[in-house]
This record gives sequence, C-alpha cells and structure tokens, in this order.
Amino acid sequence: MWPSRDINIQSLPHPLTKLVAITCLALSVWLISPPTARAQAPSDSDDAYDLSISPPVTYLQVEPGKTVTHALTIENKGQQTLMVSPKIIDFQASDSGAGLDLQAENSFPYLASQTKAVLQETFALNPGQKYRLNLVLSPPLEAQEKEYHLTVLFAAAPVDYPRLEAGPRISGAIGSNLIVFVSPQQTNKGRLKLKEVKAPPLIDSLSALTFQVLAENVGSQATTASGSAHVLNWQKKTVAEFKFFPDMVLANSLRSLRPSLPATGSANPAFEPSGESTFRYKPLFLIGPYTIEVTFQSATTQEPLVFRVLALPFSLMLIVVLAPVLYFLAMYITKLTLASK
Amino acid sequence: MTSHTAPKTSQKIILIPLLLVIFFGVAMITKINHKYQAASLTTVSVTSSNPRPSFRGALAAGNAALSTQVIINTTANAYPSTSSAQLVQGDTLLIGEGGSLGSYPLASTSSLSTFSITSALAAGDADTGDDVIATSSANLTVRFTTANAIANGRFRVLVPALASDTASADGIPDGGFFDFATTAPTVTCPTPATTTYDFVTGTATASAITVGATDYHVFECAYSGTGAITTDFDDAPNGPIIIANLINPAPKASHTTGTADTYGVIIQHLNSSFNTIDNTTVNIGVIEAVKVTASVPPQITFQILGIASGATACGATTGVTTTPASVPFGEISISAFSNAAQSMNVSTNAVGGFAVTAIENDQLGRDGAACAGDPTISSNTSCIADARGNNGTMANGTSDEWTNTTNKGFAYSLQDPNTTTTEAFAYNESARTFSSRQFADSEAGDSPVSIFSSTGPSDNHNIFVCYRIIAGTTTAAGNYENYITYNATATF
Repeated sequence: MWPSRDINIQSLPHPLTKLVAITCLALSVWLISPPTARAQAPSDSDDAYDLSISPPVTYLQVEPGKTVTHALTIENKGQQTLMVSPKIIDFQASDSGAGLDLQAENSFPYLASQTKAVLQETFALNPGQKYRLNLVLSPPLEAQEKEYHLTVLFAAAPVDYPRLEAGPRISGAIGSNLIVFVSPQQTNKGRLKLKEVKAPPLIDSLSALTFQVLAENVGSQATTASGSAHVLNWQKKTVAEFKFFPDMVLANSLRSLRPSLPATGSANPAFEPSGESTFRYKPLFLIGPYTIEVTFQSATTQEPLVFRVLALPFSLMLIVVLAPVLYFLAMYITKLTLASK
Repeated sequence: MTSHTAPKTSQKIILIPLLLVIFFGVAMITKINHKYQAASLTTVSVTSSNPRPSFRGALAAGNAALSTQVIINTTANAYPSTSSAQLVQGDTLLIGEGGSLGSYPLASTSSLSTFSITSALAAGDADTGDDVIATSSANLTVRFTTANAIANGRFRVLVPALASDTASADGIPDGGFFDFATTAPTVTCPTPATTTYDFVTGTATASAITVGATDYHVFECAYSGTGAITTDFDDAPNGPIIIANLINPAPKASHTTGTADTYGVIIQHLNSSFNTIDNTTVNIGVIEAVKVTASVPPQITFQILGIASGATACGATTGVTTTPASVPFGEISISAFSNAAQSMNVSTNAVGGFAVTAIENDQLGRDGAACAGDPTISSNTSCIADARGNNGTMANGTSDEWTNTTNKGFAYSLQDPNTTTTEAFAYNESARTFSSRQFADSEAGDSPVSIFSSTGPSDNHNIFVCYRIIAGTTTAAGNYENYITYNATATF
C-alpha cells in the first residue's frame, strides 16, 4: 500500500493547495501557448531572399562630352536562384531630406546605348553569385548643368514563383542610389542656406532648450552640411556648441540637420547627447534670453543666422502661485471638517 | 747505524713540512675551485616585447613631392627592407636624407612596392635612394638562475651591435643588429636589497665589447653582497633584468619574409674583478607580424524570410507558413481573420542608413484580375479590397485599429521584435491590439511607402510584417492574388 496515493488535493493544507494549483495552471498555459515569433521566426532561413548591393550610394560628377563608367555589384547571398531585373528610376529627397521617394520614371537622358540594352535584360543570379553592372554615362558636350537623383533598382523574384491558392506574392528589390552631377566645372556648386530654426520662443527654466535646423541647398550640386550651431546666453557667452553631422544635402532639397555626437563640450555634464535631428541643451537651470546662432561653412557661404529663445521659470512661478492657494484650501477644508464634527 | 739514522731523521724533518705545504696548497686550490666552479647560468631566457623587425629601406625612382603614394626599392638585398609587407597601419615612417628625415604616418599598404601615407611627401623627401625608416622598439626581459655565489659581482647582458660606435647608436635601425637609439635604453635591475644581493642602478653602453668578431651593446647590473647559488631572477622577489627601448634590427641580408632572424644574446655573471665566471648565450628571434588584411566595401544587404504557422507576430498567431516569395493564405474565412507574417532584415554600412518601402501592384483581385480604383466589397465582389479598419480611417499612411471581423479586406501591421529599427508604425501603438495600414496601391497611383528605416549604419535591423485578411460574405469564390514589392535602398 502506498499511503501517498491516498492523499488528494483537498487533504493538503490550504496555502499549499493554492500553490500547487497555480503552478499547474501556469505550466498548462505555458505548454499550450503558441511559440513566439521571435523564438520560431524564420521558417527556413536557407530559403530567404538575401541580396546585397555595393556601393549603396555614389556621387558622380560627369563633364559634358566625357564618358564615365560606374560599376555596381549585386550578390545573391541566399540559397535559391533569383531572376533579377535592373532598372534606373528617379528618386526625390523626402521633406526631411534623409529619406527618399522612389519615382516611376527615369529622367536621366545620357545613358549610353549599351547600358540601355543591359537594363532591358533579366538575368539569373545563382546562390552565391555576383553580378557586375557597368553603367556608362555619356552626356554630350551641349548637356546642361544639372544634378540627377537616380536609383538603380534590382528587383528579384525566384525562378519558380509559387502558384498560390490565394494571397499576395512577394518580391524584394534592392537599390543603389546614384547622384550624378553633369557639369563642366570641378568646383562644388552646393550652397547651403538656413531655411528654418524650429524652436519654441518661450521655454521653462527647468526644461531643455531643444531646436531643429532645417537647411536648404539652393545650389545646383549636392553638398555636405558643414558648420555649427551655437547657443549663447544673455551675456553673449557660448554655452553650447553643436557641430553639424556631415550629411549630404542634395541640390534644391531641404534637410533637417543632425548634431555630431558627442557634442563639443561634452566633458561638461550640462551637455547631453542629442539624438536624430534634435539639438538639445539641458543645463540645470535656464534663465533669460538665449540666442541660437547657426553658421554654415560651405565653399560659397558663411552666414551666421540667429534665433532667440526666452527661458523663464514658469514652473516655479506656478508653484509660488499655487502653493498659497493650496495651503488656504487645505486650511479651509480642515476647518470645515472640524466644524462639521 | 747511528750514521744511517741521522740522515733519515733530517729527511723526515724536511719531508713533513713539505707534505704539509702540499696538503694545504691542494686544500686551498680545492676550496677556490669549489667556490668559482665555472658553469652556465641556468633557466636563462630573453623575451622581447615586440618581435617585429624595424624597417630600413629606400625610395625607388618615381616618387614625387606632394604625393601620398610612396614607392620603395624592392631589389632583393639592396637594402635591409625591400617589401612594404613588413609595415603595418599605425607605423610612423621617417623618409628623406640623413639628418633631415620627415615624419609620415602610414595610411595603408597597397602592394609590396607601394604604400600610402597620411600627409604628402615634402620637397626633398622624394629623391631616389632617400631613406625610408620605421623603427620597431622593444623591451628585452632577461631571466636566469645563478650557478655560483659571487660576492660583489655583476650581471652583464650583451646584445649584438654594429661595429661602428656612431651608427650603432644613431636611432636608425641597422640591418642585422640592434640599435642603441640616441637616448640610452634604460636598464631595470632586480630589486632585492639584502645582504645577498643589493643592486645599484643599471648601466648601458653602446657597442662596447667585442666577442669573437661581433660587437655588443653592454647592459650591466652590479651588486654588493655575498651572492648565492641557484637564485632565481625571474619574478618577485628578485625580478628579471629589463632593457627598455632598444631598437630592433632591420632584416638581415637574404632575410626570408616569415622566417625569424635569430640573434645571440649573451648573459654573463662577473666577479668583482670583472672576470666572467658564468656565461650563457640564448637566441632571440625577430620576425614580421602576421598581417591580416580585409576590405569592407560599402554595401547594403536585404533579407526576406518566411515565418512558420503557429508563431506569434504582431500579437496574433499566424495561421499559415510563409516563404520569402509568397504569403499563401489558402482558404480564408468570412468570419475570422487569417494571419501570416514575414521577417525582414537590413544591414548596411552606409552612413546615411537605409529605408525599406512597400507597394502592391493592385488590391487582391480574383485570379489576378484588376481592382480598379478603391473598390468596396459591394462595388466589386471580385476583389478583396484594402481594409479600412474599425473606424474606417485606415489608409497607406494612416493606421487604424483592425480587430472587428465585420470590417473586411486585407492590410498589414509591423512589429520590431528586437527593438533594432525605426518602424513606420507598430501593431500595438496607441494601446491598440492590431494597428494596421493599407499597402500603397500602384494601380491607384500611390508611391511606395516607407515601412522601416534607419538614419545610420545598421546591423541586422529586423522587422516583422504581419498580413491580415478576411473575405466578405459577398466576395466571389476564386483565387485572389496581388504582388507586393519591398524596396531596400540606402539613404544619404
């Protein structure tokens, strides 16, 4: 006889009963719960589309009357053969300047005939195989000075596209951006201009001074953001300096500039690293007028531009105003409570 | 008899002192020989902190001032160093004529005869035959065990040197010999300060001794004290002898790259009269570092992977297994959602990051037929239109919660499972359960819409794209399909 078999769950002490029940319930839930995607994600990684292209971005200058060959290499890193179709399309820089919107058409008129022929062809790319595409650009002597924003897109699909009962078919495409400047002159014709400084005119003394700098390239060629933003206090003393990250600003495009990290003066704990396109200055306490001075250092411009922000201790003033009110309110409630008793 | 006895007695008188003298003489000699029995120091080792040889070559013809490309003479044995393979990034080169050498940090090596420097060659530093020098300094650590107890002696380390006193200590590497440098190497002697060994500050003298036909730099550690047998000079408490900042030799004549040049270093134990009692020679090797090279091209890599049925993505359980090329929903219900998902990964070293956009060629049409415009279930029963969400506000740029099965159609959501990337929206944004959007519709004239992106170099940024579909009760039976294209491009 096995005495333990005679012990049923009701005979256990009450807390232990609950513990056993909860444990069993948790185990059951864990056992029947579906696996998470993270744990079970790809159904078969060997079956993945896996494409690589090099270089991802290229800036080219071509003189009219001359021919330039630009090589792109695409590699099939997956385990299945893909049919690849190359094409060249325009792109437009997005409003923030960092992203791009692919267009349906190609406005670049100076592709050599052999390149046009290659772009008509679909080719098979076996697993591990690389394909080198030579783009021959040959603007004629009379070509006008202009910057073209192009994407060379390689659309890929498996050789044996599955026949579906229902549902979407998926294809992947990978692109290389090509910024071509057709010009007879070698000098950089980019010209940055401050479009806007986005900052609140009034801020609280306990908050951070944050702002964004929107630059516009009014020149005819892409150029690198170069320069800095200084924050000056009421004594005209620089309390923060942010160098611009050398992002490219395409011709006739806008771009939200980013601070280089870490900000100059980061040894001072009052400075905090800024993220993305927001410049941030956060000392313990801000007070009085602050001036944001933006300077671009391009080949053709050097124009300090200013924007003013006033910092006042609104939150402290609010506390000063509210504290007596709250005090008298509390006293009044206490008095009423005592009176009712 | 007496006449015979007397001579014998006198012989004894002479013989006994003689024997005593011989006895004490032998005893003294024996004692002396026991104290200074010539032997070798034991457990001797000399280790170099940097076994790389120094570089001493010369410019070939074809160099020019203001150039950052440098061509060296590669004629075998014309100079100690005739291959740029001996150089590594970070080396500082001295180039020019003796007495006016310019300093040029090495940028990279491109061939055995050519390397790049980070600043252009100055005028006068680009002449054929000008010196090209990169010193490789090392600390030599000498460890040993004494064989004899020598009172008030000294330890001496001899390192091969050029015969010329001037050239052996000019700071310019010597082919096949150590250079003393213009500032004497420091000699750190063992540290005990006891009655056995109490060392004074070490000394260094350039090319001071000739042993056989070879000159040697001399480094000495003298001590007072009795000395002792089998004292270890390696680690605490005694410590080794350390010779700091000696310039390694440039390769010997007929040096073979990858094969060590060996040099005999002599360690001696001298008595107070500067006589060498113990003497041991050990070889140290000088050999090029193994140069590992790799180039990383600018690139962007894009992966699409299927996700198995039964997985959880975007808070929903997938009902079908997808492949990179298809989302095979199969038979779909008119009363319950069908869910599927794919995983996408992007890696790039482009400084501007990347963006992945999505667009469908059209809405899901029966047997691939067109779904012109933006149809509804009632207006076109042969289309599974893009869904409009619980609140009817869903579009390709506007998310809406979609949990109500009375709202029919097809849409997608996003999940960043590893918090690696910046997605356009998330399935659980605004406390929603399945926030979703329509795909941009090429047939309707839409442009591709960004679904995830990054503003800098990205290492395996990963996202789940979750598809959801439900048919209307009036949807005609048949096979519905469309094409969705994901474009991955670098940004700038």
